[in-house]
Amino acid sequence: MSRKSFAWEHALGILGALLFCLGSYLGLVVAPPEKYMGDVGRILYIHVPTAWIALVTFSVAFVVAIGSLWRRTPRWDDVLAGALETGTVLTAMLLIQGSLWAKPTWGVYWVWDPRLTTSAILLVAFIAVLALRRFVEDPQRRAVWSAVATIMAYVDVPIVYFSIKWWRTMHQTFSTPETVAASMKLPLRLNAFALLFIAIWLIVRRARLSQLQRLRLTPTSTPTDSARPTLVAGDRADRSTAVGESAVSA
Amino acid sequence: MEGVILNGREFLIAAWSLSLALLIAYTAVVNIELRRVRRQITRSSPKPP
Repeated sequence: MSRKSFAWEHALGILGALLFCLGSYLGLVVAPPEKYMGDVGRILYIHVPTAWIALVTFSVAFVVAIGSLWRRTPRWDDVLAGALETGTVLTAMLLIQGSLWAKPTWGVYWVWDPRLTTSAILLVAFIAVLALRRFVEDPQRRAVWSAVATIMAYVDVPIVYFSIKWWRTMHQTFSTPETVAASMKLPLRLNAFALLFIAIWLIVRRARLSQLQRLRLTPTSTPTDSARPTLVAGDRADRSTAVGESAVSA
Repeated sequence: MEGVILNGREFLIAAWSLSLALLIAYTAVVNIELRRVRRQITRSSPKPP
């Protein structure tokens, strides 16, 4: 890992944290309470950005899974691990926020509404992908299986997104600049960018962890920051180096 | 609806705090593990003569 990439990665995380503080302040203190729900409506400022970034993160995982299957190099799998875990954490946050919002507004923590049900299926599906990664010890087989499982689990993402359009649901419609009041837009946007930057930071950190864990298993490797993966055999090692540079700038 | 507004703040605080707690916990786990693995690799590396 070079000093330059190290600075870039942490700068993004710090920027995300600062934006999140500002967005939270605006959403919790400055923005007026929602007309019908009162203060509880302020959950919107974290719930909606979490939903957006969770789906974006799983979309990244989907693209990386295809890349992993195509190139068959370990660094794609490192990024996939980061995107899968970060997306799963965000989806868990999303369901917690949603349940806590549902209780005072709908009277119950949970209903088997299409949006809620498909979101729960999304969480379970990606937890299953993460569990699969733990069960497979061979790195190459794990990369292939988890990439295929990610692509299969991703099928639920467009279903989650369009569920409020396709079925009758209690969930509110899409939150877009046209469907929210002008005073709500800024905190929503700030928190969305904040979570996006934090998610990128987490994906990169988790990818670095996978890379180092692989390095630890190869005693012939040197512990330099720009170390290359050595688990791959034959000509794939050269390909992994070339692809890895673009996948994670380590 | 009045009851909703009265009880809203607790749910609001719970939603934000639990979300942040989860995010911070995952961040901590990843970073602590990253530091541990780095230290292990540094320790096991051959020392210069």
